[in-house]
Amino acid sequence: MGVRWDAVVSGSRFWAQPEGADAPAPAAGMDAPVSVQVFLFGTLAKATADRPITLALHHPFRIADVMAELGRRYGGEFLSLIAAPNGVKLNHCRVYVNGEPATDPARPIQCGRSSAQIEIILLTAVEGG
Amino acid sequence: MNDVTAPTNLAPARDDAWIATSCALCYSSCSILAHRVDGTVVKIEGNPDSVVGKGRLCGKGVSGIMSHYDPNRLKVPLRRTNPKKGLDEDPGWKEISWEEALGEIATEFGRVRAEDPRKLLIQRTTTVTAGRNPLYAFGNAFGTPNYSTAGGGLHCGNGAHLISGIMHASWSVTPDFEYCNYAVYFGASKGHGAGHAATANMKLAADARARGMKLVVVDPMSNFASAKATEWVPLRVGTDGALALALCHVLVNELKIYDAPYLQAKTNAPYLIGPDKRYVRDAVTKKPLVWDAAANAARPYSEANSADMALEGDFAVDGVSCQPAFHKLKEHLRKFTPEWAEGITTVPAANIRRIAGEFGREARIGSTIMVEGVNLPYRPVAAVAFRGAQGHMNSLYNFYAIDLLNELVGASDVVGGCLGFNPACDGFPETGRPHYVPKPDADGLMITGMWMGYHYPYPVGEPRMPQNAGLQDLFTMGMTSPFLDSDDQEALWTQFELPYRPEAMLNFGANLLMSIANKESVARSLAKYKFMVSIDIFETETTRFADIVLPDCSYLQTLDSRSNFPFIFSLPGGMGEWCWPIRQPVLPPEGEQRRFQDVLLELADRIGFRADMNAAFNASLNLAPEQRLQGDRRYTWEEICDAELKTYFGAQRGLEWFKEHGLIKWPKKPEEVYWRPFVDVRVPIYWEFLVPLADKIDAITAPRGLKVPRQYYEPMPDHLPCVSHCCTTPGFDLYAFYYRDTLHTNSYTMENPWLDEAAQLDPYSYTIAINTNTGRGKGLHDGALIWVETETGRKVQGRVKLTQGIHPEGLGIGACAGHWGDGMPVAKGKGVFFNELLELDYNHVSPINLNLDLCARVKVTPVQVRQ
Repeated sequence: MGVRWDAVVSGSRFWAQPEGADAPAPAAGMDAPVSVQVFLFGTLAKATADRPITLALHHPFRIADVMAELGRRYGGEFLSLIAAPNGVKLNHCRVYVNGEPATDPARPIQCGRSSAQIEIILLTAVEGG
Repeated sequence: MNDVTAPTNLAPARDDAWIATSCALCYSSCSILAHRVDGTVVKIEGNPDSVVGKGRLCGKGVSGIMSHYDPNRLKVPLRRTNPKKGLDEDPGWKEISWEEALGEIATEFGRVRAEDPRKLLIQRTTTVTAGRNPLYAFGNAFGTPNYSTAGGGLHCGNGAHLISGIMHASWSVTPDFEYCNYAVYFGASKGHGAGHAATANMKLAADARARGMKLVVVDPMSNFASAKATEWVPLRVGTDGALALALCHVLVNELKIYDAPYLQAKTNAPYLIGPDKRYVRDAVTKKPLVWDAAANAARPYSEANSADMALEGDFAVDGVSCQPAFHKLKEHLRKFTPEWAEGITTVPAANIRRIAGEFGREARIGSTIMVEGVNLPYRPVAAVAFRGAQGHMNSLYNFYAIDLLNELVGASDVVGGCLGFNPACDGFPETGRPHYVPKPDADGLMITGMWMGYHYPYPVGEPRMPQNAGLQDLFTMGMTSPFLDSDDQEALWTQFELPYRPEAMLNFGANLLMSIANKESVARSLAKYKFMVSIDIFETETTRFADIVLPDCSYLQTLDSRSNFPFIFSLPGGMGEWCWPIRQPVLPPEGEQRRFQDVLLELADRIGFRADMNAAFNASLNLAPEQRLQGDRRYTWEEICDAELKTYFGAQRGLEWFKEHGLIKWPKKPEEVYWRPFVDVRVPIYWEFLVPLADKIDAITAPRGLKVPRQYYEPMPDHLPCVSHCCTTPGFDLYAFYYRDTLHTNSYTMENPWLDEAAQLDPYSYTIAINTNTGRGKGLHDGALIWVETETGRKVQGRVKLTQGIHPEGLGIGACAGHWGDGMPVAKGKGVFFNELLELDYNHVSPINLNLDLCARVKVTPVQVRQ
């Protein structure tokens, strides 16, 4: 008896992120132009008749850059569908880069090729709007 | 001439197979074995290989065969010929072809999608859990934010699921039956043949009781849970939160029992609170400050050792007077004395003190235990709530106050304590999928790792002018909304400038007319839809409002690749195994029945949004890159299920593998089940975020004539009365409530002949339970026919059953009975339709989480029978 709750398992790294999981993109290729194809689905697709749309960004780009560019193109109402007023990507806005989920909008994208395909769709957000 | 090459045994090979699949008589989706002989299912048993049910099956599950073979099942598409819609209107059904049906639906839905996809409402039953994903994928692709689960969410979920998510990262909570020694249930039925993981929990709860776990059941009625309890604590309807607050007070202020190290390390108890009820934040990092006793200074919570964080005391930070959140809570609780609570709940103060003492002592604060070689905190007590406690105006605070009992003694997601259902999973060993675990936000508070919806319960969304017809994007603590059906929906939509009106409904199996509130209100809202499609297996009362009815396959005829996923819903908590079963066809469709999943895919093709549908499945099923659905290719439902199974279990374990094996399972690890000590997240014992939330909502509503009642948005729980508690009209002396009969699921199983027979044998299922002494005082006797009437004149009729097993002020009715439609003739006229007593408007809804108030103050009078 009398053991501190938080001391019982101290030091365990069971749920720790693997090494390098959040490592930034390498510096190589910085500012290289990259063509990004963006596929908007569901509600978001109403913003434009084109699918995909093509964005020209600089490598390495971030999902936050893509969101900002989409906001510039399609306006604040569109942006409010994918981001909170503070700019944070909404959880029910799901983004995929070349088929891989992109959960951190601030993380540089290592697409590893001259073109990247980005898919964006809103899933249902019944709770909280 | 005889053919000598022909087989000499002319008897054809007999069809005799046991097929592993999943039940759908309730949302637990227990694993079953269906015995098919010569094309007919002759028996259904629990699947002993599965964790989901552990080979057991409840009365509903074994009776499923009767629901499947019900001759009243829908078998052909139907078209309405009577344009009028109402409770007394005959739809004038006309049989039509699938081509006609799908063509008309595609045209109408296509028009709606082109005009404004938000005009479509997707409505579904909660009974078939696996219906959620295909329907949501359809809605996501279509582009509508409007979904509802009828009474399923309004009655049970807006408080229970929200708070289980915020405090336990799970859809619901349960005692850790294997280790728990003392459990208190507040209107919950965990382990009594109903609820999440129903049959698995039956065994776990029974074993726990046999081992000596004490079970205290707080409930106005002694029925399913109380019958197996050590102690039944009857209380006045809707006052569970008041009792919980008094128990918290006794623990903290009278007995001084609380787990300080847990509160320091795993909650926001040490966060400093200023005079504005908000966190005091670091000027640079903006992180909440704590008082570091070692440094004798305020520091960001992330920079101080937990053991040094002050839980009590008056401090000043840059001239601002502040106290730790726990200090605030402790002071706040002082007013909730047992004597005060006795007046509210009728539970004697001495009993409150005794139960609090037992709970606190049994918590064994500071103890540890080894589980499979891992040393873990051990707190063998749990306070668990569900529908009974949270189904009221004070839904949020009731559940919040009850969970505080767990938080105060550190019995949260540790051995023996109150567990979320599997909030952390390290994945199938060969693939690492599914992998999820809670994580902290910038304030250190917990964000769930997995959720049934896609907006997590915390952080709370930013209120905005509503775009959702349910106004959940304005009242952002709400989930299922009453305003999709309420009497005042048009007034609210106008008041808050909803830019469109719902025009079309796609209903999957929900019987809204019976599951939400009084049928007249719901009928008025249903009649407004210009076009309604109902996919169902029976012609329910709600289906009779549809323009087109599509005959669905039953659970014995369909395919679901995730009958029990997410694991936070119906996989049992505690140690054991992870288990992923599927549901597979045992029988072919009859007549022209079609699987609803195939119908949705067909509609997507016809309307022209298959690419969106594929993208929605990719996202909602989290398909692996190599399994993702491509472009607008027309995948079959089998191919989509195959892609999901291969995503999680490898290319060699696709749909064919699962059809052969039925399920896959692998061992749970202690670090998964008892994840909380391992993960650096905190939960809020002080809901600071409610303060700015109220400001933001009020900034929108107040200029439009609706003041947010701030007492519902205070950061610490309180007792707020229901409308029924405020009734002072003479003669209205009883609190009517409904309970969920374990014999039945929603309104669906009332049609099942075996379950109907069992319900008729049960003295209570179809009657009105009133306390014996109370009833006799009114001159009532068993079998007496009475009216139950509310102040507003709503009334229902039924026969009395007197019992000592109900609170003297209570009046209990089994839920969702009293069908009146001809489409379910076994169910018709059986039992009492409780929901007729419920009002459906803003004034009867929690103004914070939109939960409907589910009790009503009533009077009873004998029915005068004409001679």
